[in-house]
Amino acid sequence: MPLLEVEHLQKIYTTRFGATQVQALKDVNFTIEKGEYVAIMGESGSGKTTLLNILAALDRPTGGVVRLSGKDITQIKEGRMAQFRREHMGFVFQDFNLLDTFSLRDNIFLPLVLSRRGYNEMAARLDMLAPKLGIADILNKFPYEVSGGQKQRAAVARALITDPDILLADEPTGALDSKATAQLLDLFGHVNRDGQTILMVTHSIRAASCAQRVLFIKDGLVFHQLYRGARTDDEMYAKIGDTLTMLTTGGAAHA
Amino acid sequence: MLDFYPKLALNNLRKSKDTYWPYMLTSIVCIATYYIMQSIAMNRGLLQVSGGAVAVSIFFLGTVVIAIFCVALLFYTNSFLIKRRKKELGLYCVLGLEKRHVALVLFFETLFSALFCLILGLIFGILFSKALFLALLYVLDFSTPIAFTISIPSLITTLVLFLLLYAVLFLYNATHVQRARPVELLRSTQTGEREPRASWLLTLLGLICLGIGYFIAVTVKEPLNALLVFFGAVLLVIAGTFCLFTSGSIALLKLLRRNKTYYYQPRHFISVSGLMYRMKQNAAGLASICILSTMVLVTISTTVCLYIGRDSMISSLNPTGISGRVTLLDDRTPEQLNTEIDAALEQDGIRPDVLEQRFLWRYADFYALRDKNVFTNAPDDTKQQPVLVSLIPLEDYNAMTGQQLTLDASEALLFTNDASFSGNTAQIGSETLHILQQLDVLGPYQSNQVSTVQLSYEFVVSDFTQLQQIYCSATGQNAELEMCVYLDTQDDSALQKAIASALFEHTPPETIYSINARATVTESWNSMYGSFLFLGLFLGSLFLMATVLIIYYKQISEGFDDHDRFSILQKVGMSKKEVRATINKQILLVFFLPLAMAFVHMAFAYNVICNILVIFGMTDRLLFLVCCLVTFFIFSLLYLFVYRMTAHTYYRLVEA
Repeated sequence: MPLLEVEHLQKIYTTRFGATQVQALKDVNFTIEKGEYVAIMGESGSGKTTLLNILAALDRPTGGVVRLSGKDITQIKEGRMAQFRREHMGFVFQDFNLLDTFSLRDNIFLPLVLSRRGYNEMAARLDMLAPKLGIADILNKFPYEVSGGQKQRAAVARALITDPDILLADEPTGALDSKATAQLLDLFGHVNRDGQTILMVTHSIRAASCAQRVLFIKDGLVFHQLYRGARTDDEMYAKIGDTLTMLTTGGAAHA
Repeated sequence: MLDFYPKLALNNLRKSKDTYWPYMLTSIVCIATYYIMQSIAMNRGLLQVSGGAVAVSIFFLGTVVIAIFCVALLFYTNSFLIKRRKKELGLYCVLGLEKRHVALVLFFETLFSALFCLILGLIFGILFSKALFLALLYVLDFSTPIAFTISIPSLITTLVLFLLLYAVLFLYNATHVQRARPVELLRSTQTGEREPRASWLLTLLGLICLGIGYFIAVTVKEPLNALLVFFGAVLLVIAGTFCLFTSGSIALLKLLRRNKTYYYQPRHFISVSGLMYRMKQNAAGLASICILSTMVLVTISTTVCLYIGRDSMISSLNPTGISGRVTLLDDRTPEQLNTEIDAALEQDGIRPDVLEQRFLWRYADFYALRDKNVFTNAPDDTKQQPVLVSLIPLEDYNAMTGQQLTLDASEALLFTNDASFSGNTAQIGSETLHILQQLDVLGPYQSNQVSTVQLSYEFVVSDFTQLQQIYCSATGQNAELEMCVYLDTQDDSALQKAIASALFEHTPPETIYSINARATVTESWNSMYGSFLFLGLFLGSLFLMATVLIIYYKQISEGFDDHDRFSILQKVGMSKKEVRATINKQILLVFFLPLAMAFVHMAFAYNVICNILVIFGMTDRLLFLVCCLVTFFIFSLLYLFVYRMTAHTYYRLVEA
């Protein structure tokens, strides 16, 4: 059974007075297996953010099904939703979304605290995680005291500390310089090799070229997908570039 | 193009109603309040009523207080507004408006809001001043109607004061914009904030200030010291409150954070860290709220208590309709004085038998220091609270009570309002008196109904020789006899006044040197305490408005700040319900901390205020306690109401 199944996903936004309708997602279908590292690419307005919001259960689809480990997340009741997201998903955002009022340590603990885990368990998990992410010696600092790359690594730690089924990343390299970007992608690779499923939305070719599979979205549809196979990162980079050129110049779909 | 700036200004005023309307409302209330107080203080009719002068001078004081308060309040709200709008103003600069253009927009905004507020404020002022004036006359118990007019000089004073204030506010805002750079204006609200530091020194200082203040307030015993001491204590408590709110709160939160099992719980985790930042920004505001609330509580409960208790205060100080003192230059007896009184009354055509009761007795008194049962003459510069010792000849006591008692030279009867006195001997100077009996009644006085402003001991001694001897042994001087005169009639104030004036006019010169009709005293007290009450309620409501306003703006500014924080929390996996619960907890704490603290202040101030009230002749502690509790209860209800109102706006901002 695939870890994540998306079937006939559809999302229509209606403007306030119902005058016009915007179809952000028409009919999106794909599956992700456990342990996969998938990137979703698309231009602004292609619907990829909408897709991620629905996968993250921040938004509800107009039609279709999203199953995580066999459970349809579109049917989860509002009251249970927060807990479900906390326990099964980890999030990494473009603008980090760390709280200024917490030290990095407390930011990382946040989802566990919300799940009422004891301090010792939290500390033990962080002790395992922090060295891997290279943040062990900055845990007591506050977000405004560290660099963007360090902030993002702390955010990754926050996402991973709950041991989520899937890590959802929204433009994780968007606010980072090239060095920090390289470090973060490196980190994602490591984490994935340890068995963590990752779904990353991005329009950075550099970021997408690290994934095992890249889905291309255009006009609310999965337009094309690309498997890494035996390609190196650089070959993958070139291939993604070609595909994007083809997409913008208007080739036929073969998803 | 010319009407672009006024239009923009108008539009701004209309659009930013969440922040601007409360400011306008405050201005309107300030203007109305100031006008009302001015017009009452300037009312000429008031001066002509007996006791009116007292009221007028109290109200003039009131206008000054209100003026100062209004200026401070409007400055506070203005600074809040301009801080909120920095981003918007920065945007104008980025969009190509020059700074002088921005200043022009600000000018028109100020102009429009000033006109709007002045017009509405004065209209409300005129409308309500009529109603309040009637209320005042009722409170003052003035039976004669006083003409009420719209006071032109008050209108002008109000206009001038507030136009000047608006001008200053505009200049302040304009220079603020002038000095800032657009990029800074744009970013000014979102610079990352450092974690607040807890200053243990300040916390300790705060605790010490508060401790000393409370200690003084609780331990003060002597009413006459109380007033002076009270101001010291108030200053200490204010300082302590500010210290504790600013650094004590943060120190406490840091302590809580250090306790890992407490801190890492969903209920506390977000609140503790959120509160730390909240306190950093708002400590001063919260401390002001606390102080203001305490002021409201103290002002209203004392003035209400004085007003309600004034009748019993008057009757304890003036037990009979007419009371007076006579210096005796000869050895006139009470009977002789009675005849003189009869003669004086008849001269004014008043029948002597309207006097239902007459108490006259001779006495000699001096201030003494009491050490248990030993009384020694009090030196003039004594720091201790002296007691008043009176010596009364048995002859007069017998004549007054119709008894035929006899006393030995070493025997005495005692009437005192000092409940702490016990034993049956008293040593005055070198004489020791054996107290045969403690009297419950002396003339019009009853021992359980006497004012305790001044502790007094009235000894009835065997005869004049003995009186002289005791007096001389205590003071080293010869006793100069005086006579108390208490006359009572039916409760008819015109009659009382007529009798007082007859005695004043027609008794032989230098006979009765002070004579009071209770009716006259009542009038002047009514006017004094009525004015106090009126002013107290007036200032109380003004303080209350300030409190409400500060709370409201606090909520709004926090709503803006917390919006981002809570949206992150939701993204990271907090449900709406949890977010709400957390918000609720924070607001409740921040909101009710000042109220709780005000209650504590009030509780500690209770003793010292009781002692101050004694100076005004108010000794009924129970009445004051009831007044305090009722005031606190009503105040809490109002506070709760404001909380409800503002919490709603806050949720709207946070969850938007």
